[in-house]
Amino acid sequence: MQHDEIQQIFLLECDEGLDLAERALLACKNGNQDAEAINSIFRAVHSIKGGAGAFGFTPLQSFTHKFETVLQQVRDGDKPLTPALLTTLIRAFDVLTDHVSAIKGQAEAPADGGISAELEAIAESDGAEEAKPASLDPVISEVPSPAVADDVANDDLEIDFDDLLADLNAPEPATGGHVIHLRPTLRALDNGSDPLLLIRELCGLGATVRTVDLAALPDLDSFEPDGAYICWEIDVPASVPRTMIEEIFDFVGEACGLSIHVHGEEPRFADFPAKAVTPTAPEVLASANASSENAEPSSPAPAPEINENPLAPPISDPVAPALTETRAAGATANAGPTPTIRVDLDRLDRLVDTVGELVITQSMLAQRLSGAGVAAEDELSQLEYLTRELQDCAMALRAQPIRSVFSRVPRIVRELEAETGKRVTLTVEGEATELDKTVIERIGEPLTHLIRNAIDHGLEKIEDRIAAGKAAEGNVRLAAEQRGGHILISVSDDGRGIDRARVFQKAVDRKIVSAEARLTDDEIDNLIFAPGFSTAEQVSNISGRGVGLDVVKQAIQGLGGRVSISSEPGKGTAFSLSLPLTLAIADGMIVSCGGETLILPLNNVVESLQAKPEELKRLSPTQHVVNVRGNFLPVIPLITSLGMGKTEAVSEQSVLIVVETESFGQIAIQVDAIQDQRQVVIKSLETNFRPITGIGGATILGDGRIALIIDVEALAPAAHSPRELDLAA
Amino acid sequence: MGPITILTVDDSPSMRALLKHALVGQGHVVHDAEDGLLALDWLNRHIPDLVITDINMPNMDGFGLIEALRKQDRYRDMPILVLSTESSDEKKARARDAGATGWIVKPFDPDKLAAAVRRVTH
Repeated sequence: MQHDEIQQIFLLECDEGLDLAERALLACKNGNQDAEAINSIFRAVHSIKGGAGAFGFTPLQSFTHKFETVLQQVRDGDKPLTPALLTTLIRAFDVLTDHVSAIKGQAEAPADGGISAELEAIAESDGAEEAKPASLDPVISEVPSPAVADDVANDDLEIDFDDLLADLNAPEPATGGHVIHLRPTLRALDNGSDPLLLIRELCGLGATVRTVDLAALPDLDSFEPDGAYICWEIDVPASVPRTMIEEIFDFVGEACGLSIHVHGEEPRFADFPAKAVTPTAPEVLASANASSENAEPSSPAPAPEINENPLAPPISDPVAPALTETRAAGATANAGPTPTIRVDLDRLDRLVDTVGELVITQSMLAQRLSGAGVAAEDELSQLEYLTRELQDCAMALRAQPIRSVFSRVPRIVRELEAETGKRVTLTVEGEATELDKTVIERIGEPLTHLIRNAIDHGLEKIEDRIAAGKAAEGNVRLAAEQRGGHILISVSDDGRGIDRARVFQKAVDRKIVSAEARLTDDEIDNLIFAPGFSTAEQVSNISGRGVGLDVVKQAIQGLGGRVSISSEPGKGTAFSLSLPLTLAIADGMIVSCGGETLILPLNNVVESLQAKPEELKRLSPTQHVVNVRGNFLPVIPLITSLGMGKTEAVSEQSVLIVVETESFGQIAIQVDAIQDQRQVVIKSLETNFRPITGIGGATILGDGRIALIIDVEALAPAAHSPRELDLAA
Repeated sequence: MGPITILTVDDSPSMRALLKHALVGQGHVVHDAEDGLLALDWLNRHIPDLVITDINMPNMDGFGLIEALRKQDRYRDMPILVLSTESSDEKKARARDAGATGWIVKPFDPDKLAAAVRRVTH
């Protein structure tokens, strides 16, 4: 595995960590601050710090260090988690997110906005804690982050020295260089330590053992086989730097009494008792840590059990009144370590692709065998069942919870609150709902846009809300659920609703509709999706960025989904997105037209019919409408709109398929016959050939032939818009 | 020193990957575990020559793991190194009390890691 790949793992890990941390922070904000929430924030930041150091992302590392220091104090109960501190932590989290985006190359290095200084100030303040020795925390916070510190080399292997030094009899100085006195305690061999290994390493550097002191060896009766009884005096040549010796003894800990001295300068240990030697210990330490240990010999050493340590602020009722059900569901989905395996996306896609081919082959085989009269029905249906199963499993592998998208929303809301001065309560439901990875990747932008729209345009200003008898805080709800073969995502607000008179006027001004047009409420609401439509009289910084809701609509349609809107004046507006579970398979209606076999996505199909003569009306030699229960729908001959040839005029013989289009409502597509209805595996034309207007993709039929999948949306414009119609005529 | 078998315990996949990369590069056989509990489970079935463990982990942290191991006869003398971003005396004292053989601060330098491994294994 290459360094780059490991770095990729780290970046993924950052995202997961941020996700966990954000959820925990939100839980705290909602009053569910328990020890585990704080701990998980701490762990996430801590992990990111570790990786940042390992991969050399210094700004990230230095920021996470400051963040972590404060989190640690909160976790250890040194600092109560006040609302003010929580706000700071959330801000720090946002900056951390930006730092992570920066290392991914997705953004510039973030503006700090004074948050680092704020964290440092908090870390160094004493907090409201008096039971703990004040010296401890400042010491921790002042210890520089290892990789940021200048003395990285010395600090890299931390040095743990005993505060007890051996009272060896110092021998006469020899020839310069260092003299080491090593006096292991009886238990020096515990915990896997072995002084002999250290001596061997020293000898590798040219050291020689001057004396071996066996005086402590007991009689055989009292000899403990796993005890350490021997002491050494070792000469190290002057060529070996002291730091190197210290490094070797990094691990000695309490197990060995140790002293290192330049020849001729060794103290006479016999002259003073062991305890009094303590002040010399800092000399041999490269780290500042030891001095704190020595300065606080009586400090309460046993650290509190991290996980059991109760937090200073009272733990609120875990059953919060709001959102209980969905939060609980989300938590269940996350609880406990789910065993996971990371798989390269390419491999996954190859699997999905191959399974897709398998489905096709299976249906080809079924067709061939039934044509040949082979009696294998049981086996065939079993094979079909298994292939479907396999396909579902493969598709499920690409599915991801929408949480990763939803988790970005709270931050957007916070920013918008700051920008607009409005107050917003965000409710999020159904975070565990799973969608295809590609959908997840592409749904973020449109969703963000809808959220911005809801807060900027939907919600009233605080004073207007109060005047309207509403709570000052606006509500925005973001929810996802699976319904049948679709995922429904809704963004709703309890704001002012759509001002239909204004929307209509705007649409007339922009020549989107004629002033005489009589539109239903629904149709007026849908005008806001029209290209180039914008109702904001004052272009705000937030949603009026020259991008209209039409872009949202296009994006959702690009994913094979639909957007709809419902609004009630004074009560609010709701946008619903309906998205397919997978992009790779669709239910299709197989039709024939001009000798070709074509597929209409069943998603779009409303009904199929054969019109009675009196229901057909001719507008021009080539244009007809059909009256479907009082609604006149334009008839689109598929054969001409695809440029495959001339069509027979529509008659009662023609098969009309009513399809729903996003932009122009229902239209009737004229085809020769309907053949079948079945699931088809969608093959992209873009990747395999080149994009063709009107064609959404291709599939392989059971008999091995290729059939094109019609992009219904592309057929629509020529049908419905009066202007377009004129052009076509 | 010949190749030895090492169990690394860290909840961070990238840290595990880095450790494995470094240690395998030094000729060792490396197994890894995501937290203290999973490590204990592995250690109930295998005996490595060395354990390198993180401190801050979910389910069972490094202190818990070391304490649990030192209670078992077969792990009384096995070297256990702590690898942590933390470097406070308090934590180190706690690790030492739990029975850790040594302490390495993250981020680690592969050479220093090699030296540390050498220093605690035969």
